[in-house]
Amino acid sequence: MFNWGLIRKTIHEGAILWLSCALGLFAFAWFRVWVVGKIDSQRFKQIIELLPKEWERFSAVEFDWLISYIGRTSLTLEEPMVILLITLWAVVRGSDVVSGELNRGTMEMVLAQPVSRPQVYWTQALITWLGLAFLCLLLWVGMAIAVETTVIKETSYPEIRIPFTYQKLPIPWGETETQLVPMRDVIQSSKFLPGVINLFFLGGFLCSLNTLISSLDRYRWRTLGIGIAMYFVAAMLKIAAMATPTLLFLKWFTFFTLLEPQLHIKSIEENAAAAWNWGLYRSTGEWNNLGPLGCNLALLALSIICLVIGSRWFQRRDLPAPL
Amino acid sequence: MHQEHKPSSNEPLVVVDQLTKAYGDFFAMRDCSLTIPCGQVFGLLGPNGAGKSTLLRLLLGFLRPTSGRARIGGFDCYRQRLAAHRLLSYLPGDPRLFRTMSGKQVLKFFSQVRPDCDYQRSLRIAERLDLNLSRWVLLMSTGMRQKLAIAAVLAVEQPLLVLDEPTTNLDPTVRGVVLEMIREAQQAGRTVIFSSHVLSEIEEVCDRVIILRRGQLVHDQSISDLMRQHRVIAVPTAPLPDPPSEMAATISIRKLDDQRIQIDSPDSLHSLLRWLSDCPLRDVQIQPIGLRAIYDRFHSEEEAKDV
Repeated sequence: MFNWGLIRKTIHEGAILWLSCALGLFAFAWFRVWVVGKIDSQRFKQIIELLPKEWERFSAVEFDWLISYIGRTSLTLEEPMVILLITLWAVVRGSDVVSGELNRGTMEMVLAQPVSRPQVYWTQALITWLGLAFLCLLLWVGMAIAVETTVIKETSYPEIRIPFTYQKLPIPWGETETQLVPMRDVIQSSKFLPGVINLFFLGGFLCSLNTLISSLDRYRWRTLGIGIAMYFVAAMLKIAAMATPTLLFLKWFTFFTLLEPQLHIKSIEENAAAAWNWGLYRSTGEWNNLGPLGCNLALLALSIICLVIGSRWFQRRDLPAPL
Repeated sequence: MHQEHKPSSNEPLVVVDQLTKAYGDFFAMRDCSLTIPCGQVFGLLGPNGAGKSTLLRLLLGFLRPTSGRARIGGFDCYRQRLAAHRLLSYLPGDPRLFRTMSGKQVLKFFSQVRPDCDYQRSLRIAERLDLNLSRWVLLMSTGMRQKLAIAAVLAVEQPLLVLDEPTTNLDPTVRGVVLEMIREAQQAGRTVIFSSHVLSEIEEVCDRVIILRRGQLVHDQSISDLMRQHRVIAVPTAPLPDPPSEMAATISIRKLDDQRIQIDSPDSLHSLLRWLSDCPLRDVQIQPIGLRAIYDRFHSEEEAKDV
């Protein structure tokens, strides 16, 4: 099925972009978690408390959880820089599969060899997915290294012991005491994995969607334009759905509904079995969102549909002469 | 598992049957039928837009035929294109190669993609074409890229070589080397489909040529037959005697201007000269008819109609 020459060519073509994205993600993840360690939890709590309570609807998780170290570090996975780099890799490489080669005129020389169109298509698409997997792995490694190497300052208040009980109460007006604690004592880096996996499946879907558009088109610039436009429309639908309860239904029309890394981290942190949940429910029993399994499988299913349609289309279409 | 099929020299290697490619009302290729036997160098001639590249792209399976079919070595060019591709090596009219690779990396790529492409052989061809392989494709001139593509294509040892305008962008020396390589390929028993605008090249290397016009095959000419044909331009000083009966059916005589006449004969020069010696002519010029005259017969008419 796979041809070593095609595999090498695909890796060669994507290598510089991959290295740039890998460096950016790794360094940013490390830096972002390190910064969390530099801000005292108590101060962050004060900042969060200043935010209007209704803003909580823009967050998939409660603000109280966000104040915790795991909440603040897991925000890394929703940082625009991270989403941008994952999207960049997925969109740029996905769009290159067919229309990129056609646009450069190299498709003709490749397909004149005894290699089938599905071979060319699936080699490029699967190597893009593989590249994405390694990018997500590096993102997690960056976060994990930061957790292992960062030391955090914990401020504690003097406490008084309630007579005849074992309970202690902090005295807020008392003199505070600051102590240094390794971040690994308060966070387990494995807890980030559900969020990273969710991000990987979103990247995979974006790659597959752009591969599909690429197989229908002959100009790379147009494929990129359509892919990016769809991305922004999906982002706007998600924001609109979160902003106004009357527009909540819009969340079913955007793939960003399936990107909830923090929610997945939180739910699995609270209950490890939630990793296998199709849906997540609030404490009131009300439906909250698709669960980790539901979101990831939905993204995977959409990706497979896009890739299969794209492959079949590419198999049958006429190949235009290079311009 | 792919089907192994080695074409025998008795059956035609390429068979095109009523092949048509239409885009809406526009016919890029219409009802084209031809056969190409093994070992022939087959020329494709026609102006831009006549359908030469469309025919080649249909043979390569890049385009789905609207009707009709084409087969290479018995394999359908569209439905069994992978099997057909195993029998051929193709040089596109405008070969684009991977810009981020060096010349050597490009040749290595082709030798990895297909096991029948000999890397060492492609290096030798590149050397013969005086090509610097250490340079990135991005920094190569159009002619250098053409040479690189030729080195990759000619390194494949398969029965059919499809070359779409292979000498475009090449200097006269390299052009000569490429034509020599085509002759060597023929001597090795390979079949060559050679598309070109340069009539002299077609005359030099081809055994047979077809002329395409507006997507239709309008003429099929054997080059050896063509070489036997001659044209005489002269000024008659008196009415000409009737040609001998064996020549009468094939000879054509027409007035060029007030004084000169043109006599075209597809027969041997020997019988023509015997008749001419009896004709009252002066200022006699005798020349082979050549492909130009055949080509103009179809395409000058077309231009005249267009005017």
